Amino acid sequence: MRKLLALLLCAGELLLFAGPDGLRRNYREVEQLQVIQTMGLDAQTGGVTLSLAAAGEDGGGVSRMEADGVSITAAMDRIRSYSYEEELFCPHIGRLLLGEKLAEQGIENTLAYLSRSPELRLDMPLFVVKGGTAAETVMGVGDGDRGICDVMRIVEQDVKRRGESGLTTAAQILRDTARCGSALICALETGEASEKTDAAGEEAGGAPAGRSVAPMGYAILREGRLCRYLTKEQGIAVGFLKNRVGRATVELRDSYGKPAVLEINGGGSRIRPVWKEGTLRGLQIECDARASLLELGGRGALRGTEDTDYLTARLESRLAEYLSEALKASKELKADYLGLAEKVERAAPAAWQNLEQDFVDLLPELELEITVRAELNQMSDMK
Amino acid sequence: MQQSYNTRQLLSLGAVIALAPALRLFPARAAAIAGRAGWLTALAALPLAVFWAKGFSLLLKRMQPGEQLPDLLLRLGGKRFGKPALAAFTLWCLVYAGFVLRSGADRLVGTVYPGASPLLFSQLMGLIALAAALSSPRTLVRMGRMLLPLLFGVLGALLFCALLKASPGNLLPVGAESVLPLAKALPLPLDICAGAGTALCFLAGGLREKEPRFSVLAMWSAGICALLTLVSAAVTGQLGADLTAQLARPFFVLVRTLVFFRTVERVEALVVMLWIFPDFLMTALFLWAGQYSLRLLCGYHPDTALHPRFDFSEGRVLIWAFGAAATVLSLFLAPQPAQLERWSTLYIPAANLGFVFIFLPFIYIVGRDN
Repeated sequence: MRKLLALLLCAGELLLFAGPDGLRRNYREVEQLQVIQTMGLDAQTGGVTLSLAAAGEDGGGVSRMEADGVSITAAMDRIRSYSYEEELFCPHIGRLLLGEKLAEQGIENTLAYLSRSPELRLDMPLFVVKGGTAAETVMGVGDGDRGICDVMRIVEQDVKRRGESGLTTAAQILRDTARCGSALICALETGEASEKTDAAGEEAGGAPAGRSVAPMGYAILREGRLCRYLTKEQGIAVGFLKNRVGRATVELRDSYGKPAVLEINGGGSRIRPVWKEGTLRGLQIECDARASLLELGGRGALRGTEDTDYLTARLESRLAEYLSEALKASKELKADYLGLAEKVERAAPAAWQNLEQDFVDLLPELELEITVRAELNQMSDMK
Repeated sequence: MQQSYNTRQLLSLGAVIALAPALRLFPARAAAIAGRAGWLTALAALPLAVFWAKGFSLLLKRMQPGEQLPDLLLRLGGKRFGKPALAAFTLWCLVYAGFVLRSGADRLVGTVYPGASPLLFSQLMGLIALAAALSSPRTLVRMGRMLLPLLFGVLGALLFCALLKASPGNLLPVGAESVLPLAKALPLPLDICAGAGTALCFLAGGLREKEPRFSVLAMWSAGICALLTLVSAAVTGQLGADLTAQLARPFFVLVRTLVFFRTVERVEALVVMLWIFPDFLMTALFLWAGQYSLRLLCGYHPDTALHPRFDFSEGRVLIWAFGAAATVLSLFLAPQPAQLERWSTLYIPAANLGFVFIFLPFIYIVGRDN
């Protein structure tokens, strides 16, 4: 009797103080979940436009949603309220697309939202849609069967493989902004999809030619605001300077003026600070690159070491140009998006402590000495 | 039934309960105070932790067979300080148990059950901990021993994956300029190591051996410091010192971002649930010590034998009362997040360090002089 009384008392106390729906609020039926995988955010007058997309299911279409709100939460509430779906499940959102206007206005609020959200994760990659809006991209990319989620999965794999513009996560952007005052973010450009459906196909009920999206270098964020883009080619230099070199192609002219295409397949850089009387005067940047010949206009084969040396010299010159452009942008913007300060500090910690000026203030005055050493390696059957 | 256990089991329990503050408090506070060098704080605190081990082993030598810490406090404090010391100890156990219930509930709500009421978790945990406190302390010790491989196995896997992805630039270089911030951060690991270690002396009366040797305690302290270093290096190495310092629970944010073998992800709910065990053991330990002390204060003669739960002889009704008081306290303690942060980072560590490095040495000296 005493045990029963104790149990009843405990149950009554739990109901009284905690309420019956404490746990039920977080319970969800799996069958009712619409798993959102891609999120888009744009700035609009007095608020944001939020767009969401779920991956296409077998036999079903792609689910896309869009709403405006004064805040991200308000827009999300509106989407949830007016959605046909019973439950929108956001913990598996794997990427966030930002409209150019929002990036220009600043993404601090967005990053703060990601940090606070118990659902979203800080290791999701962020992208800026170059010259467009995230909503257009989320709602418009893909055809009837495939949507932005499917296309972005391919884009992400491609970016990781090519290394010309690495994926940058929300955590990386937060960390780089806190440490260096600026950060890089992968840029995307939308265009017509390669898949074409002819008029006859469309008349027969086929989906019209859709739009697709491709990586297009980096966007530079200074104090959380977009201030400039780096081209795809300058993105190759970023890969070298950050020692994240992937596969990237470089188009050159051989000694006969014919096009030659080289594929960079490895390399890295060493950055050494140059000190004079305790002051940082410049940076020595030494890059090593390995590349293989993919295409040689007209002849198809190299005729001797002179041809190889010529192409190697052209590659070195081209890479030096890319490096110079990427570093010039850093100097002009006074934005250390390449993490140069970190490298200088690691190379000379004691001298770094005695620096009187901030590194970004010194940046425009630094003399840069760029050396590139390239080598061609044999990656195919043809010499 | 023999109600004893060995030193290894007791130290296992200590390692398990150290995991609660190690993940709740350490990485964020160490990064906030010492910045990039924060992950070295626990290593820097190692000499102090060894010093604590020496002092602690001296205190335990004064413990007589079958005596528990409250008995020791009463005996060493003598007529003048015995009962006030016991009252202070009882109050400390009550507040600490209430705080652990409150902070554990907050972690569950913040990481896995957003929007749910923390009251439910506080009360459920309070009830389960009360059931454990009504039992023999041997149950707690054995549970700590059983849980240690599970918790350390999971933590090891998480740390391995996290350290693989850690960026060296977030951890190095660390120069002479970091010495002062590191010194300022020393109380953090000391609080965790000495706090968890001293909590063990609540149950040291049940040891089969005379008392844990200094060398064993020193090794245990070194292990806890190494663990804290790894946890902090993994979190700071991945998130960077600035971001780590801004986050309330950086370790669980880190867990949320981990992907195992490109297939398993979002395991934070599982990990958070596992971390209920350290909370439970810590609450139960403080409830057990607090009720023992309260009963002693009220003139009863508590023992460590296993009694029926509804046996109210020898003031055992006070166990229920003490458990209920701790649970009720947790409902009203620090209702706002900012208040909880203050309790977590200031009041509780300060009180813990005060208990270990002021209160206990004072009682020891009084007892020696008597």
